[in-house]
Amino acid sequence: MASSIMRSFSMKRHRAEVKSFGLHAVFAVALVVVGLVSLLYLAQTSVVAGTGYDVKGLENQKAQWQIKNEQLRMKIAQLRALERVETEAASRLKMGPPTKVIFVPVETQTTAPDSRTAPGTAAQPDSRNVSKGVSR
Amino acid sequence: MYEFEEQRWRLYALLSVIAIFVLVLAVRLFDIQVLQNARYSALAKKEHWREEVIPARRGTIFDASGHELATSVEFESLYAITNQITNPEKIASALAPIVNVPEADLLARLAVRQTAPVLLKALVPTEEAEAVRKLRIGEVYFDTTFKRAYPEGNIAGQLLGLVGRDYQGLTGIEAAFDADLAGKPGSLLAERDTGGDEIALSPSQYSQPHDGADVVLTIDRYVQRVAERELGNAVKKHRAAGGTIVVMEPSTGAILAIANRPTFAFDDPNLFAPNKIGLYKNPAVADAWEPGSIFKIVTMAAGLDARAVTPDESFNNTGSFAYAGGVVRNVITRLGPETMAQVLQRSSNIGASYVSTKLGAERFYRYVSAFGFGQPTGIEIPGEATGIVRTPRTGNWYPFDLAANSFGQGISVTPIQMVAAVSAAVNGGTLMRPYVVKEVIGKNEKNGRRVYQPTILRQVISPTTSQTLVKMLVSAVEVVEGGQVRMARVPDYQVGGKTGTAQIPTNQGYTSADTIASFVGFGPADEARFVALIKLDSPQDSPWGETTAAPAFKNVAEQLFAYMRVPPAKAQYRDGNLAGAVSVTRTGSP
Repeated sequence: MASSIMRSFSMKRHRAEVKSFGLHAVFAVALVVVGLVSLLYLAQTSVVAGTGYDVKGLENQKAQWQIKNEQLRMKIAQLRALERVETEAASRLKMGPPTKVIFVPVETQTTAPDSRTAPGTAAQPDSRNVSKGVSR
Repeated sequence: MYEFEEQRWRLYALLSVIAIFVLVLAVRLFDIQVLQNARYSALAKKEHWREEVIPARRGTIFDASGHELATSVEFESLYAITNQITNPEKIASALAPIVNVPEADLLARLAVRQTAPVLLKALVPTEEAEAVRKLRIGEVYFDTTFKRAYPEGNIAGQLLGLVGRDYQGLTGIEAAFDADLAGKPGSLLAERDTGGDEIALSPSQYSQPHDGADVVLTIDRYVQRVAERELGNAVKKHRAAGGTIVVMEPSTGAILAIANRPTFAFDDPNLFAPNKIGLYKNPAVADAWEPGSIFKIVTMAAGLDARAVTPDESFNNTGSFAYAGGVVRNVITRLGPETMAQVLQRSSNIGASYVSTKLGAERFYRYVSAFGFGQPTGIEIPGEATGIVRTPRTGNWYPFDLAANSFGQGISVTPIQMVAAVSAAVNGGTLMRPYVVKEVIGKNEKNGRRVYQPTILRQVISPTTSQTLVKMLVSAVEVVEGGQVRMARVPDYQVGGKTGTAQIPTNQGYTSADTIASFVGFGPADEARFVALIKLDSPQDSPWGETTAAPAFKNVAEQLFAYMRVPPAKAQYRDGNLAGAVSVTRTGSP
């Protein structure tokens, strides 16, 4: 009787120990999992934050290039300005106002030659383009 | 036992103090977290979250051929957070050679201890900005700003107009089209780190800025430059107080150039000084003057169109013309018969009065109104004046005004009205609305652009009258009077036009001290590509339009013919042969 009571007590104790171990194991595993997830989250957040700052840096670079582009566009416009072109032409290229303007007549034939036109005769040029060698 | 009781009492006392302290803290915590939650939340948000306005790029103003006249360029400006600086001397000596600012100046600015940023240099070029960044000075930073820039330099200032320090259009096209040019600024509400920079990938609210639309003018930069240069030369040569040149395409009403003197320079550091305010308006549209003899073009057009006179009709010039209690005289007296063509050639006040009185007040003022005088033209430039036209219906009109108005006295007009009217007189008789804006290009526009088309206002005179008038005005330039070649004459080309020498009205009548000299002309005669008005205020070396404004017109016309690739005139116009439309009398040799 006493031995059976002792066995029963031992089994209960064993079960309780097993149960306790199981709880401890679950707790430990959960702790490890939570730790791992936290680490992963931390790592991910760090990577994301790092990437974010990289993106921000690139955006800043892009903005700076855009500013440079704008200023170059302005510089091009200034170089194309009539005043600058005139100054360059006069000072560096030693150019001056034209003293003689020549209008060269250009014979343009937009329609098929009329059968009544004698072969070899050129079409009459536009009267607006006739003048030659006009000096001013 | 007694000792234990005493220790217990002390323990209770300590616990009580701690409890009271904890209670006070709890109450305070409740006060901050619950009762004053909204206030502290707002303060925290203000500390960590900041809204930044992102300015919109102001649109560009182009000339007709796509060259930038006014544009916006983004620049960086260098700032310092001076209350964080421990060694200003070191920073000043490092920055000075890069940003080209004297070290002493930088040091003076860095010595100002304040929390607000201190501007060290505005509009830093990118090369300098890159060099400063390489220094990696934590206490200085760049902020971007837009600057209005004028690649073509100081041309068409009063037409383009000014933008204020707040980047808003104040005058000219900048003001008239401010709603289009300005755009809509955006914003960025984001969480900031301790340095004030946006925390990457944190939640934020971004509203994109909408850049302003671009405005394309009818102005041609070459024609504008020619007008500016020739006006400057004429004002200088004749020591005039000022002047205006307006060039218009008569077939469409498109304005090719508007130049004024005096004017302002965009790069003037004192541009916004109070004494410069008078220069902001555009005298070509805002100022009216008594036009003098150039108004005879309108009088003659009316007389011919109403068939009150014909080109060959003549009257006997007796040296004076008495009318309604007044007497009209010519500047140069030539007695005897005078044809209508000669009225323009000789700029006869008596002849013009003859035409207007023959027309009668009702018909004369109907034509004056039909040509657009006494009313705004509707051009897009702000501040347009209407001029003053007194008629029998408006009151304050005297019968003698009919004679005086015929040669441009007692009536005031703006340069833009005069150019539009002469354009109508020579383009076949159609009054076109002058316009200076060709199109607006922007995302808000239908199909991306809003196009301004030439607008026909009305047919003022018949095409036949217009052709006749053109020939008469050509003869007014071509015919040689008294051996003097007209100074507006352009060799190898046929131009028409009329001089004007207007007296200046004062409270005591007309002053003899100064005049306003003018010339309005067009070319080429067979199909006018431009009408140009040259007006010089108070020229000192000569009062006459013929000797001051006419040569300036010749210079402008010569350059425009070459630029527009207009070939020399046809043979039938040469040597004063005007195809029989008007009889031309040569009184001298060319």
